[in-house]
Amino acid sequence: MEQTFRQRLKWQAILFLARRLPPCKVLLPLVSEARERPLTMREKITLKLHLFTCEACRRYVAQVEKISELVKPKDEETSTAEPTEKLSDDARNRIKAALEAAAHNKH
Amino acid sequence: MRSKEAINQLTALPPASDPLEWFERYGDYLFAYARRRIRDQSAAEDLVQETFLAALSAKQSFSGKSSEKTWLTGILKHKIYDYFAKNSRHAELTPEEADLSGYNHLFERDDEWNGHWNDKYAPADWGDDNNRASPLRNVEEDEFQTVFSNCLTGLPERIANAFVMREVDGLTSAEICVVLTISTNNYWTMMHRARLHLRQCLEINWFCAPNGSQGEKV
Repeated sequence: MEQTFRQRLKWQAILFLARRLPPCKVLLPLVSEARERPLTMREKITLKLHLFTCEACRRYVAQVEKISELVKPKDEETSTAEPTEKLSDDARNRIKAALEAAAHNKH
Repeated sequence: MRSKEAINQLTALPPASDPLEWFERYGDYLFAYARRRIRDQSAAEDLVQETFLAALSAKQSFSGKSSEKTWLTGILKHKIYDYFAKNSRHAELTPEEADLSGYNHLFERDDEWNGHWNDKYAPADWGDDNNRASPLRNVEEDEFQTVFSNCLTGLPERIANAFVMREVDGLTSAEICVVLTISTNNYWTMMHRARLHLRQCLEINWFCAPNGSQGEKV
């Protein structure tokens, strides 16, 4: 009984806030900008309150962070993974010839 | 003569000082690196060639402090940024780059909550035990890179470049604005669009893609 009352209260608070805050579409650029610059106090509070009301946007924040982690190079230097794309034979021969010519001119 | 050659072969393998040997070893790697950043294939080939030519003439300056691969990648990276700078003639966003209307439907609703996520497109639960969201094994890493590259091609090229410089290469906002000669505001718009697009594309094609298939491209 107690639990349901608190849940109802939370739901009322969420609705109250959500009706007064700008919608997701308007606030989402702030999620991205928070990664680029310090937000103003006003922006921080608006965003925090919105995130309290909106599960989809909470996921968005976490997923943007997750993507950022995943695309960071994992030590490409020591990676033994095959290159995702290889030079064509044409390009290979052209570059080799250019290198040979340059090396020759140098000596 | 013979024995000298034999000795050379034995001793010359790690640090190869011959640019042709460098090319044999790292040519494909550098090309793939350039291609992840540059859509124009022949431009990527040219930059790889320029990199090795630069390496040849700067051979003496290679200190051996970093690996050859790191050194060559560093040269290529600079050439790529020069290329971006040369190709970034519009200081402002082009109408195509600034156009976010392609994402309007994500926030269109029939009820009083118009402007909030449409349930159909709202971020899905990627799952805590989704192994595609945890650190990737090598095999998956290759697969992920392919999906990621495909998703990047869904963005205007400069926006994709900005995202790669920021999140993959780790440049600062200020550095990227200089390379692309854009204002900070425009840079923020670009990054917002990139994140909106990539999140959705990666959700469909990676995080929530049925196993063994790469789904459809957005």
